[in-house]
Amino acid sequence: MKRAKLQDITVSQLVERFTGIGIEQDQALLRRQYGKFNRLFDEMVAIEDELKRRDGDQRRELLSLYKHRNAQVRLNAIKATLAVSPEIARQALQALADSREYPQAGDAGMSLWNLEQGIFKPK
Amino acid sequence: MLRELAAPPPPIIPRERPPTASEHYDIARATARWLAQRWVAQEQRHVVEAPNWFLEYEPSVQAYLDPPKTLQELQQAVSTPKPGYDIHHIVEKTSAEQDRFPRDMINAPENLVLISRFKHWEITGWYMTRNKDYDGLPPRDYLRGKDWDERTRVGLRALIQHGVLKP
Repeated sequence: MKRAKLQDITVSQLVERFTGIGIEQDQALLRRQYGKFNRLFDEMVAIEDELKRRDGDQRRELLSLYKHRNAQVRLNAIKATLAVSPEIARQALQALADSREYPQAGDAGMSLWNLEQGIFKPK
Repeated sequence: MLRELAAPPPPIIPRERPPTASEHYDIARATARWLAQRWVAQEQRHVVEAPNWFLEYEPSVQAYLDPPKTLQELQQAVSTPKPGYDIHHIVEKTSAEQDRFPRDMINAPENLVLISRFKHWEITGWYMTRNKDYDGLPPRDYLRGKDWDERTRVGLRALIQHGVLKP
């Protein structure tokens, strides 16, 4: 989805596409399709940027995905909301790290460590 | 044919052998992931029954369910390779080679551990995929130009967070 097109769609459509990307990324990881994962990452970042640009920073809408059954969707939503809702997001990151839902649990644990180290600076 | 008492349902293992090895691995990894979330304690272990074609992947599934081990245990295991396990470089081999670290350093016993094949693939995947932690760079690219100690720190932490190494 091109940036120009992202500007024309609703917040709920953006959240829906964000969710779809997480599910596709999870499958890409399972199948070791890392190039596909990375292309989807770019699309995900574009959606986050568009949500951030909307009135009042609409990335908060992604908080609704914290309970999604797919761990990659949850991981993406948590990382996308660390800047707008840091305390709740950190708790959710810890819960995912403890969940044994690998590989996302591993990524979540690394993110907590990177936050502590000051390497990961949510924007 | 998996048996599990509680929802959600387990992944489906087809009775007929799928045509490609890639499909076999997809099914085996999905099964391992599903079991890992329920593999909390010995007494809570679940039974997996599978068609014959799946049996060659059983060691990989079993290995994925290993509890975390000490660094010494993982390093010593390198001398006795077994099915379902791969040798894993703590300091990631590809980026270390790209930065021209000596091969004898990359392949030194201190840098090698024997871990579950599927865990090895997961950690390698983490290194290769873009990540917000590193401003959108894959960890492999983030580590380019970093010294050996920093790479070791990241490599050990990745093993801990992926449930392979005891904290």
